[in-house]
Amino acid sequence: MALLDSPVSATADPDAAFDRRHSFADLAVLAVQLRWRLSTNRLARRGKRTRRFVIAAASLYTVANIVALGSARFLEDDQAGATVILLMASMAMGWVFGPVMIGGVDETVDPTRLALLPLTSTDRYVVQLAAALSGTGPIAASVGLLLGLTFGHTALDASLLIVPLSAAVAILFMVGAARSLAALLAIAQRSRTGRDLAVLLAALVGGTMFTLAQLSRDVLGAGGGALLDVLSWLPFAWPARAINAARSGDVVVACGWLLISSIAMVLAHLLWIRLGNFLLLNGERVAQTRRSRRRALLSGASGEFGGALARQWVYLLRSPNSRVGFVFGTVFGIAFALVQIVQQGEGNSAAAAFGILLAMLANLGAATNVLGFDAGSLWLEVLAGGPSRANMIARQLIALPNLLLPTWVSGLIVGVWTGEWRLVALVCLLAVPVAFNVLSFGMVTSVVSPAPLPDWDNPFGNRQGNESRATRVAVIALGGVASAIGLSAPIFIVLFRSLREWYLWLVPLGGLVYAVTLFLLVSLWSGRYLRGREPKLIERLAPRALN
Amino acid sequence: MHAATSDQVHRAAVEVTGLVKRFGEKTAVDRLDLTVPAGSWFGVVGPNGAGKTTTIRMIVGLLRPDEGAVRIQGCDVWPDPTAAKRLVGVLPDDLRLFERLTGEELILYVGLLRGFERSEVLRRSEELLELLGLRSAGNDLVADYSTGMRKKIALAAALVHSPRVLLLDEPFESVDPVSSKVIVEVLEHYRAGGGTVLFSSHVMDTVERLCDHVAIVSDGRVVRSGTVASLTEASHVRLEDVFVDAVGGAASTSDDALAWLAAG
Repeated sequence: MALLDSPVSATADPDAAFDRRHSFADLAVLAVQLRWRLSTNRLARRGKRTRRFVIAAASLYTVANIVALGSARFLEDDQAGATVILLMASMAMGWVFGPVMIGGVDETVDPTRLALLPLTSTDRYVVQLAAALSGTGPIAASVGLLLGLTFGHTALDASLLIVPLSAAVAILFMVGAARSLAALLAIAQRSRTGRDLAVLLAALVGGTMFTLAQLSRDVLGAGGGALLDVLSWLPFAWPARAINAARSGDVVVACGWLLISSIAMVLAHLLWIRLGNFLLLNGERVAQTRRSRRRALLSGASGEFGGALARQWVYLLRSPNSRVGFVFGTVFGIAFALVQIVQQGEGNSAAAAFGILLAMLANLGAATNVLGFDAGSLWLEVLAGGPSRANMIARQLIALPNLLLPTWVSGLIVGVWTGEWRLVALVCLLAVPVAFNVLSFGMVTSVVSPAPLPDWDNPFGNRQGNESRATRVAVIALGGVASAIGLSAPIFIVLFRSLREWYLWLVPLGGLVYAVTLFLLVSLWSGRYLRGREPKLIERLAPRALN
Repeated sequence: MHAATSDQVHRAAVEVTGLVKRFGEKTAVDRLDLTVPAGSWFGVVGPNGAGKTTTIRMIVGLLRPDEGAVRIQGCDVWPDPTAAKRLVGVLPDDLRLFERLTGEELILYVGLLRGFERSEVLRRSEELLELLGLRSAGNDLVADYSTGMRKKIALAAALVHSPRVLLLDEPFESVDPVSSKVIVEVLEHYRAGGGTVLFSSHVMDTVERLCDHVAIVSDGRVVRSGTVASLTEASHVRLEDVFVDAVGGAASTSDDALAWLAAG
């Protein structure tokens, strides 16, 4: 072994051991290679279909941007200006906030993976910047912006210089803002409270974007001009203002906006560097000061079911995956229900009241893969002879708040909006048996088709991403809706026949008895189904537990 | 146990003076002093929560100390740890690796980012993978590695630049005996050429078997330190007894305690 036969001697010339210094260009090239290696390895693992999908999506996105931005050449000046602002602002929002909602895609985001290397903060910045610009998404967005803007918004004058420059500044600004936000969230996530705030922020942003996207026609119709005015004052749209001014031939204004955009871009990058350094050298501070809370949570638990329920409850409170899922599910559940209700239009209070049940749809995932969540602890259940019926009931019941909370909050909003408190209260009560029916369906899918989920916080958890889950999600979503409707149909039939009867308010109670009975019967079946399948289950859901 | 040569013992590979780190109201490291002779195999032992990991993180430039100084081969780690990072190889406790690189690629990129020629890194990578028993897994993603394999690939990444000082945080934790033996062999090889190994552990047998120097850390302070021989031979006791004596003694159990554990 030549390498280890001659390690660096403590008595050797110190400089001989020092690594050769990189030029920034070398580092950038290396970073691009690293980013592409990570991306191609990830895609290779996911199969041909995903590779084709990514290539097609990136190509389509590029072409769509070129067409949308380039078509300005054939539009009126006002329309062209509005298109640029809307497109660039929405692209920036997606670029900056997208990774917050779809975490873990890019490992080069995390500066701690470079922490052990002798890189200065400038070196690290170069590596991360090059990596950030060389992903599939950034390349697609950059090509689309540069080509579309150059074609659609330049003439043989100063705009030929200002427009591409503004596009470049916009891209760099988006990178700086996105990475600064990612670093801020990473710092926040070192403490439980910070992590919850970060998740809540991401969920609110995501929920708002989802709601706006769903209601864009209504929003634009009602006050598109006002929306554009607001957007055009956001820093994301400043380069677009430079482009609009350049297209109109107002070179001085264009240069002014370009200068302001450049300053914003530089500030975003300086912030990114500072936050990255802080994250590297002070990141553990909070994490190590916040422990030992809620130790008493398990103290009241007794018996197999009590222990299982308490453990799942602790997981819901403490596991980052579960908490994130809960916060996202709640916010998106409310957003989803309200969007559907608003799209139905005013004047239909009954539809609005029953519409709150749709909030459960956005949370089907919480109930239909309870073994996939928290798979790391499966081995404990298997050693104790499970996962038994008691474990399954406990796991499913902990999904109940995820189904009911957004439904009830949506109910409150609809109540305030329509004033139909009586009907809303009735539907809120009915939501409980409906939720149990969703849990019954969820228990079947959880044991028949459990899906592995990544769990970075558990040493026995699965470290892989959600591979090829799209079909499963689609089938379960359709099946979930059909089953929830089918299983709940008897309750609603009785309800509609009892609307004017004195026993109307007893219907939710009767429905609950029916749904819980069904749930317990399904749990009997699931306990039997799982018997003998435990090793396969661990192998599939928590392979690291076998190592 | 391996004795360092007298020349090496007199040169400090790592010098830590008055190191302090506080997390909120808790003082994790409390005016800790440590001198690691060059060429030694130095064990830092202590109970869980004694401050071993925090100390190592400050030594290698991963955590900023509140007070104190760290020098590696005479090079100040703080305020700018970049130069010191060229001198050390680190196997941290929480392995944050590029999960979607293969083992071979991980070593390659670590080597390249450290400024080595590709051909040289590839040569070293091949040898390290062979030596650590990872050749057949070299093309597997790091995400698919077992805990032992992750430790070994991280050790390879820590060794690829042939560092002067190797700092290992609990290198044998969760590692099977075969992998442990491989790691020890690699470390002995490294040390035989003049390298210095500093590692933390709370497994006394391992420390007593491998190390020539030891520091016992408790509540963020060094409570005993010296050569293993000087600590154990004077009173003819094992290192474990010295450790228990230094950190406050064993817990006493009454006869009735754990009676329920009796078989049958």
